[in-house]
Amino acid sequence: MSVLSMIYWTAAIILLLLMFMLMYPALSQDISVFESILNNFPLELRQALGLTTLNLSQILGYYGFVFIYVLLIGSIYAIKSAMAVLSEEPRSKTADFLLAKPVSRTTVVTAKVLSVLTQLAVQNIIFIGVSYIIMLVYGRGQFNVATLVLVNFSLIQVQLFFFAVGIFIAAVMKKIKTVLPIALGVVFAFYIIQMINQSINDPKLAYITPFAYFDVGKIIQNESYDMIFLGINFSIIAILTALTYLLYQRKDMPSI
Amino acid sequence: MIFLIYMGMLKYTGFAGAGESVTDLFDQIPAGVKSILGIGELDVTTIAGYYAVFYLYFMLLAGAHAIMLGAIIISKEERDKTGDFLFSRPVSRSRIITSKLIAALLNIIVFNLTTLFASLVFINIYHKGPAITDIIIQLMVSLFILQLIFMVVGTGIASVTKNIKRATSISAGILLTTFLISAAIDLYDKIAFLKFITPFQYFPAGETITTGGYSPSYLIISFLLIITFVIITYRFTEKRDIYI
Repeated sequence: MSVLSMIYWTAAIILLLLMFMLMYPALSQDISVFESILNNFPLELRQALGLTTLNLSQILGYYGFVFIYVLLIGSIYAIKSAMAVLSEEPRSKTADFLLAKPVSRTTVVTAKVLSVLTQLAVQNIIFIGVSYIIMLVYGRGQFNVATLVLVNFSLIQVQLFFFAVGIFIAAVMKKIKTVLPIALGVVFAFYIIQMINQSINDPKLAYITPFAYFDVGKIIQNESYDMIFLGINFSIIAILTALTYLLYQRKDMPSI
Repeated sequence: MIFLIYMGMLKYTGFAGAGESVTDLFDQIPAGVKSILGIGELDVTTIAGYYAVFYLYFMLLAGAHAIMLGAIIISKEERDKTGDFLFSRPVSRSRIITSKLIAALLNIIVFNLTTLFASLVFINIYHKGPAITDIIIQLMVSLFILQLIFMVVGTGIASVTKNIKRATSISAGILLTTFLISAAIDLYDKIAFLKFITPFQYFPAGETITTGGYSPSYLIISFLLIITFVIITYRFTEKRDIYI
């Protein structure tokens, strides 16, 4: 079941990428005209519109634009599977079965966590491979492979953030009846913060949302990650995962 | 749900804080660029236009809330295994569905009114100038239509699917797909014929503000969609095999 859902979500991400990429040849004509006009305007103005960093007439710039939606879907998948796997017992009333086995709760959490991580890893490997092929077809070699790899690797890092948030929510909440509404709410909230951060360019907002930690436009521009944000992301993941282990140890499990 | 509304509030404060400076910046944009950016018909320098930019995200949140609510309220009995309790009562299934639909309707009305009042309060605090209450109310009416559509789509899906766990997944899939199609239409206007598939494009904020009304053809489409999915909900739940 969870393998199937992994395949569906991966397919969805790839279809999305393909759909937007199919539009690229037609779009790139219009965009280059638009960009030449835009470049005549002052920098502050372009900043306010969030258009400084993404160069849409370059295939990689356009890829970066599409990649934001890839991140959105990938994040929903990550938080959903993380939350589902750890909240499964109270939901399907199998806690007394699983937790009575002679393994510690730490082992249980580790096994659950690893199963989700494996799925995320497989999904990323498939996505990175396919996106490279798609870019080869549409980019005609006019892009920097190292930057593409860098952009693609931000997917797993954002996913890990939401994965950590997911297991944490599952550990805190007594019983999650339906996973998806919470998953959608959390991811959309962070996504909207990022969209607003982009349009009003408030540096404080950027610290709240992982979508800003890996701002695709900046990654393409600098050809590297922002080390501070990388550190913040890593710390949040580590803290939330540690808290999850602690909380799950002492969690009261309803078995009926 | 409370979380969603809370996020709505948070969004406003962010918007309000920086509102002034952004308005100044937008003042400098020549009209030509605006039209290329697709905000041509929207005057972003006015508070109404600026509000409209945020309206897209309200639609996303409200749509997510409505479709999830719809899907869950119907499939709830099977998920919680209370189907044998509820459906053995001496009331017909259609009555049960009616009360469930009314409950969901009340929920989205509350959601809508909360957004409305939050918008009005925050705009009044940060905006000094002529009130734009009527525009906000108009936008909220179109938001309400969007919520209604997504809600009945949710209930429709939940009553048709055999496996209740599928109901929320399919609903989320539909929501995301329509949202992405809408984003693609904004980007590339040659596929505008797809507009009727995605409720996000039925009543675009820019159009509502400039023309001050709703497009009649999309009103009809919305109405038909809502009716169809309500009928689907009733028909399929009536004949549904309830697993306990």
